Amino acid sequence: MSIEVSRQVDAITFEVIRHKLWSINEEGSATMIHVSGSPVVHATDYNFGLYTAAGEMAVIGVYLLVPVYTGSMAIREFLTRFADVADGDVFVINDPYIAAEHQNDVQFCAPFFHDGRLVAWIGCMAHQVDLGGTDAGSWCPTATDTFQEGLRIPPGRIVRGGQVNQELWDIIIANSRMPFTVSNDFTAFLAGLRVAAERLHELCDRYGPDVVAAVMDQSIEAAEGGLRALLRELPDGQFEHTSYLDRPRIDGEPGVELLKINCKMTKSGDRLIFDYDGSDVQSPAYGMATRAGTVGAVATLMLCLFGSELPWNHGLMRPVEVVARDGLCVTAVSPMPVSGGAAGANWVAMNAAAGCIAKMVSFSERNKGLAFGPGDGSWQLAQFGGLNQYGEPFAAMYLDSLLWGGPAFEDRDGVDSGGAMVILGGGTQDVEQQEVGQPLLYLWRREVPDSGGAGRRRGGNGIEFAMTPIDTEEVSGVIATHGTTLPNRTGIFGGLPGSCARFELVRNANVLDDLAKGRALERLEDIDGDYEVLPGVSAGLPVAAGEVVNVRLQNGGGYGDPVLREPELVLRDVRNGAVSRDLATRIYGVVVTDAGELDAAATDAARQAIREQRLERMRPPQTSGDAQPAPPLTGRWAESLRFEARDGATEVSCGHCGNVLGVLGSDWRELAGTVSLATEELGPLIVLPTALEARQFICPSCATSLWVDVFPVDGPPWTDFTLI
Amino acid sequence: MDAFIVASDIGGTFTDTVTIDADGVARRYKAPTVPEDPAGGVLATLELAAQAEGVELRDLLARVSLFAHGTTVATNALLEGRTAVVGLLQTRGFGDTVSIMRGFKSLGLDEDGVKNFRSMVKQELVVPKRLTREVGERVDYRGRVVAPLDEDGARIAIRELHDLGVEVFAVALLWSFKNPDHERRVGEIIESELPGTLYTLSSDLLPRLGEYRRTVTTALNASLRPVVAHAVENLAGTLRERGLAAEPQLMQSNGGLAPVAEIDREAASTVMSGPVGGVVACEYLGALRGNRNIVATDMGGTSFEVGLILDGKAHIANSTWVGRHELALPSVAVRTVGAGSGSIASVSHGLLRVGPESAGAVPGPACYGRGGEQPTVADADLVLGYINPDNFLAGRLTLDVERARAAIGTHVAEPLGLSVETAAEGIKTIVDSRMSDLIRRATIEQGHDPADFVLYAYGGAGPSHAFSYGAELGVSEIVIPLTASVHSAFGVAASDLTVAEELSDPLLSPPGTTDYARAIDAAEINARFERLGERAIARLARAGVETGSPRISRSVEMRFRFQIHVLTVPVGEEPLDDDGVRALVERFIETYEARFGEGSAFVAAGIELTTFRVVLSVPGVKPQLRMLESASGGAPAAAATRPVFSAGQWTDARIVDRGELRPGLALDGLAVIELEDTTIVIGPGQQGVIDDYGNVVISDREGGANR
Repeated sequence: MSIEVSRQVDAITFEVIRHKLWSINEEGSATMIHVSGSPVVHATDYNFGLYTAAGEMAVIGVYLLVPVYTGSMAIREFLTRFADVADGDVFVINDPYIAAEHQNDVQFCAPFFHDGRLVAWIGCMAHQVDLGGTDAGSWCPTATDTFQEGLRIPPGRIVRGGQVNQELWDIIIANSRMPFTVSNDFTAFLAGLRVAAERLHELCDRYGPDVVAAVMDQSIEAAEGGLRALLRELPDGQFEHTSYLDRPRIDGEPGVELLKINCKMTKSGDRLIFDYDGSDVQSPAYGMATRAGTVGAVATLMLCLFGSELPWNHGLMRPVEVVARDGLCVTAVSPMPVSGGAAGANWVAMNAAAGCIAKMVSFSERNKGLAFGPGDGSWQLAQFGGLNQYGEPFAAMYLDSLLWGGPAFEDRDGVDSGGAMVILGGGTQDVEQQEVGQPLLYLWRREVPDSGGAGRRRGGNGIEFAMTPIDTEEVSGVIATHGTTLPNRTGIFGGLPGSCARFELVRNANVLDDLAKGRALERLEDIDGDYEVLPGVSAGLPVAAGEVVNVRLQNGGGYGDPVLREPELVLRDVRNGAVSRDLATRIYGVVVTDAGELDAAATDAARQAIREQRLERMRPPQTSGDAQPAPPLTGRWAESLRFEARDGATEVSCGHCGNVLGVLGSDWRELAGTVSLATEELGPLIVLPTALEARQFICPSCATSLWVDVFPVDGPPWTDFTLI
Repeated sequence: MDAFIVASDIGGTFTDTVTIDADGVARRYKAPTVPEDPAGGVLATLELAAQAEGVELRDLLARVSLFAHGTTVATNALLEGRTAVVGLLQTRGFGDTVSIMRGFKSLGLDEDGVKNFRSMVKQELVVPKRLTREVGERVDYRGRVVAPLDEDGARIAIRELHDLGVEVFAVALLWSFKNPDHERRVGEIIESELPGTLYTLSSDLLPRLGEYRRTVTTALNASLRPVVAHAVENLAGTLRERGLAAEPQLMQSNGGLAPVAEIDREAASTVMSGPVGGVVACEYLGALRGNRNIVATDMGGTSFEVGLILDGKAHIANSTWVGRHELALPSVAVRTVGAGSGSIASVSHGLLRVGPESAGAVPGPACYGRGGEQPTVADADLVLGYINPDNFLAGRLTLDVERARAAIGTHVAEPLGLSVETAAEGIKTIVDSRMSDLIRRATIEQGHDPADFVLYAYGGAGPSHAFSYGAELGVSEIVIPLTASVHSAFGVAASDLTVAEELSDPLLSPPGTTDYARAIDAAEINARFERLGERAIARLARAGVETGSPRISRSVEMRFRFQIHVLTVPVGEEPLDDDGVRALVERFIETYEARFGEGSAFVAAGIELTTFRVVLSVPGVKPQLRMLESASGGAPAAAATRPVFSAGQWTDARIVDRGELRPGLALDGLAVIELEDTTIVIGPGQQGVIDDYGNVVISDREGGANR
C-alpha cells in the first residue's frame, strides 16, 4: 500500500525535515563512496537520491546527474511491472532501452516501507568499471549491435525480502572482467541504501510517514510552482537550436559523417516541450543514445539551469515534455549499440536544448543571467587496460577527461578545467594516485591556452594530458568521442565556440629515453617519433612503452563579442597564460607589449580595425518581408537586440549602438549583416568539416557581433526564435 | 610565591586569558584583541590578572611556569590576504596543479553552493599562475629519477619569480615524498641565489601521496611563515621584556603545544590554533568528569563547530579547511556549518530558511541596533525571552527587543502568516535542528551513534541552544562548562607539548591474501615506526625540550587496495611480530565493518598500509582545577522569573544568577542561568545539576536520555 499525500506541513517543520532529508541523502551517499572500491566512483561517476513513493526525484546528490532521472524512470518501471513490490526488496536495472544511459550505469533502487506502507524510494547508481562486452571497460565503440556490449540487466530484484538474490548477483559478477570491484560496489550500494533507510525510519518515527512524504511532495510543488511562474514571465514561442554528432563513417571508410540533432523547444504559458523529431535516425555506430539517456540529459539541464534558485527536484521536470519518435539517434532502440550513449547523442541533445533555453530566458531582464551556451561538449573516453606494474590485470577509465572548461555566463567567465555541468561536484584524482595504480606515466596534465571560446565573458579553458606506458610492455586503449571535427560548444550573443576535442599519438617513440637525457619536452612535436592525430573512435588501440597518447578536451563557449571584453581582463589572461598574445590581438583586439603591459592606443586601433574588417566583409541584411505572427514586443534579447512595439509590429534595434535594424520578420538574422568566418577566426584549436561553416551576425552599423554559430553550408539554418 | 599557568586565546574580537594558580584556582580575563598587535590584547588581560592578584605585572610574569597561547593570526592572514607573496616551483608539465584543482570547482562549498551551477566558481588560487614556474625534472611512483633536474632552468625560474616580487618560495615536485633529492637541490639553489629567503619543501612539510593537497599546503605554509614568525616573535619579545622567563608555547592544529621556535617551519600548523583549544578543553574536562566520548560544540556568531572526543582522545583528521582551501596537515577534526546566532532567516517561495548567510558583527542582528534589518537567530532568542537584553556581552551592549520583533515580523511572520513569537520559535527550531543534523553526521561518519556521547557546549550561543540541539540527538548529558566563555584558552592551558612525524611509504598485500603476516613483513613496519620515532625525538631535542618520558602513540592509515579512503588504526608501542601484523589487519577490518556494516570489508582486494605516523607528547603541568566551593549556607534568594516563549506558549522560566550556583544545586527547566558573559538554558522536562567544578550538567528529568 502506498502513502497518500494530502496534508500541508507548516513552514517550520517543512524546513527541519527538508534539511534532514538532505542529510540522510548525504549520509547514504557518503557510505556508498567509502565502501566502494572503485576509482571511478571516487572520481564521482555516481549518484544517490531519495524519491517519492510514485518515483519522483525528491532529494538529489550533486554528482553524475543524468542517472538521478533515469532512477526515477526505473522506479516507475518497477512499479508498473511488479505488483508485489515489498519491504526488504532492492531492485536492479541497467537496461538502457528502459531506464539507464548505458550498461555500465547499474542502478539499485529500494522501496522504503514504514509501518507497512510505501513512503519513498531510495536509489543509487555508480558506473561499473566493467560488465563485459568486446572491450575492457564495456565502452565498446566499434560494436555494431548491443550484443557485443556489456551485460544488460532487465528490471528485477537483486534483494528479495532482505535476502540477496545470489544467483542474479553471481550472473552479473561472472560477466565482468573486474568481478571484485563490481561485487564490492554492489555491497557499497546496499550499505548506502541501508544507512539511508535506517535514518528515514527514525525520521518517520519522529514526525510520521505522512509528514515526511508531504514534505517531499511540497518541496517538489514549490520547485514546480517557481518554474511555472518563471516561465509565465517569458514570451510564448518556439526556440530552436541544432548541434551535430560527428563520428566515423559506418561504411568503414576513413572520415566522419555528421548526425544532426535538432531541438525545437515550444514554450506556451508555463509549459516546455522539447521536440527532437527533426533529428537524424539511428545507425549502428558509437554515440547512439536511448530515450532514457536523452530525457535524463534534458532533466540534468533543467536542474542546473533552474535549480540555482529553485529547490532541486522533480518539480523542475513537471512542466517539461520531451517529444521524439522511436529510432532516432537520440531514441535508439534495440539492437542498436548504446554503450557510448552515456555521453553521445544525448549530450548533443542537451547542448541543443541549452541553446534553446538560453535564447528563451534572454528575453527576460530578470532571468537572462541564467543563460549559458552548451555546458558539456563531449566525453572523451580514455580507457586503458592490460597488465599493471604489479603484473596484475587492470582496466582504468581516466576521469581527467572531465576537466573541460565551463561555459561563460552574462556576468562571469566559464570555469577553467572543471566546468562540468553533468557532474557538478565532480573531479578527478591526483596524478600520483593514478600513477601508483596504473602503469602510465604522465608527461603533463595542464591547462591549454586559448582553448575556451573568446567572448566578452570568456569560455573556460580545459586541460590536456599526455601519458606513456611504464613498467609494462604495452597497454590497450579504448578512446572514443565526438566533437573532434567540429565544436559542439558554441558561444552565445556573439561569443565564439570553445576548442574541439582531440586525441593524439606519438608512435615509434621512446619518450623515457628523451626524458632521461634531460630534454625539455613541452609539446608532442618535441618527442622523437611519428606524430598522428587519432580519429574520434579507436578501440583496441595499442600503446607501447615509450609511445605517448595525448587527450585534449573540448571547452566552453564565450558570451558576447570578444572586442567588448575589458582590456584589463584580457591582460590578466595573457599574464596567467590563459590567452596567448596572438589571440589577444587577433580576436580580442587587445595589444599587450613585449614587456607584458597593455597598449591602450594600439588596443583602440586594433578593435576599430576588427570592426571595419567585419563591415567590409559583411553580406548586408536581406529582409524577406514576412513578419513574425507574434504580438508586438517591447524589451531586450540579452545584450544583442532591443525591441520596441510600434505600429502593430516589433521594431528591432542593435542592443549595443541602438541603430534600428528593421521590423522583426520570420528570422531576426535577416536584419543583421552576415560575415562568413574562417575556422582560424574562431580560435586556434577549432576545426570544421566541409559541410559546415561558421557565420557571424553583426550590427550593420557598429559591427558588434550579435551571434556566432555553425551552420550547414548547403542547408537552411534554423530559426533562433519564433514568437507567437 | 607559587607558580602560575597562563594560557591565552587570541581571538578575532577578544583575547581570553586563563590563569591557574598552584591551588588550582582558575581565573579568567577578557580584553579586546588588537588586530595589528596581538601582544596588546594579551598584555591587557595580564594587567587585569596582575591587578586581581594585587601584584605588578613583572612579578606576575616572573612566576609564570608555562605560558601557552592559541592564535588566529594564521587564519586571519589567510582570510584577509595578508600573507607573503609566494613563488611556486613545480615539475615540468604540472605547473597548473593548483589551478586545475583536480577539477573540483565545488571544493569547500556548502549545500546551497554545490547546487548552484550559475555561480559555482573555483576559489581564488593560493598561487596565481603567473607566479608559478615549472622546473625540468621527473621522479616516478617508485622514486626513480625519470628526468634529471634542470638546475639552470631552476635558477632562472627562481630569479624570474624574485623579479616579479616573490618573497617566499614553495617547492612541490611530483613524487618528492618518495625521493626528495630534487626538491632539496632546488632548496639549495634558492639559498645560493637568494640567501636568507624563506622556502618550504613539500617533502619536508607533508611527505604524503597526492600532489594537489601537498602543493596547496606547501604554498600556504610558505606564505604564512613570515607572518606567523613575526607575530610569534613580537609576542614572545614583548612578554620577555616584561619579565616572562618561560619559553612561550603555541597551540597547533593537532591539539598539542609546540615551542615557538618549532613553529617556524610549520607555520600552517597553527591555522586551527584557536578552535581546537575548545576541543582539547573538553578532552581535559571529560577526563575529570569520566566522559570518554564527547561531542564538543561551539556555537558562535557566524558558525557552528563540532569536534569529537573518542575514547578519551580528540579525534584528529588528516586535513582542515581555511575558507575554501584544504590544508592537509593533521588537525583536531572540527566540522563547521554556517549556523550561528547571526544566521539570517528568510522566506522565499513560501519556504523558510535560516542561514547560511550571516549578519556578522557588522551590521549584526537587528537587535544590536547597528543598522541590521534582517532577522537573525539572536533576534529570535531575544524575542523568545531566552536572552536578557541587559545582560549581553556583560552588559556592554543593550539589545533592542522591538527591533528584533519588527525584523522577524516583517521578514518571516507576515510572509508566512504566523505570529512573531511562533516565527521566532520556528527560526530557533530550524537552526537547532540543522546543528543536530551536523553533529549527527560528524559522529555517524566515524561510525558512532550520537546517543552514545555526552555533549559539551560553549561559545557565545552554545550554552543557550544546547538544551535543544542536544536533546534532539538523544545524548545522555549536556555539559555547559563553567569556563564556557573562555573555553579555548582553558584548552590551551590543558594541552601537552606534541610533535608528530609521518611517512607515506606504502606496504601492500596482493589480492586474495589470506595470511597477511606472509605478505606484509612486520620488520618493515617496525623499521618505519623506528625511523619516525627517532625523527620526532630529534625535533624535541632541537627545540630544547627535556624529553623525559614522552607518551608515544603510533598509528597507521590503512585501506583495502583500489580504494581511496583510509582509516587510521592505532598500533601498540611494542615492535610487531607476525601475530601483531595479523592482529593489526583484524583491527582494521573490525573498524571498517563497524563503520560501514557487517560484510562490507573488501577483503578480496588485499590490504594497503599507506601512511605511518608517530606522535610524541610530553605532558605539561596540568591545571588542577579546584572544585567549586559550597555556598556558605543560607537559602537561595527568592526565585526570580521571566516569561519565555517555549513550545508555543509563554511560560515563566526561573532565572538564576552566578551567586546562586553551588555544587549539587538542581534546577528544573524551564530555567535560565545568567552568568557574566554566558546564558545557559535548561529546557522544559530537563534538569540542570551543578557539578563539583561548577559545570552545569543537563539531563532529562525522568533520568532517561534526552529525547
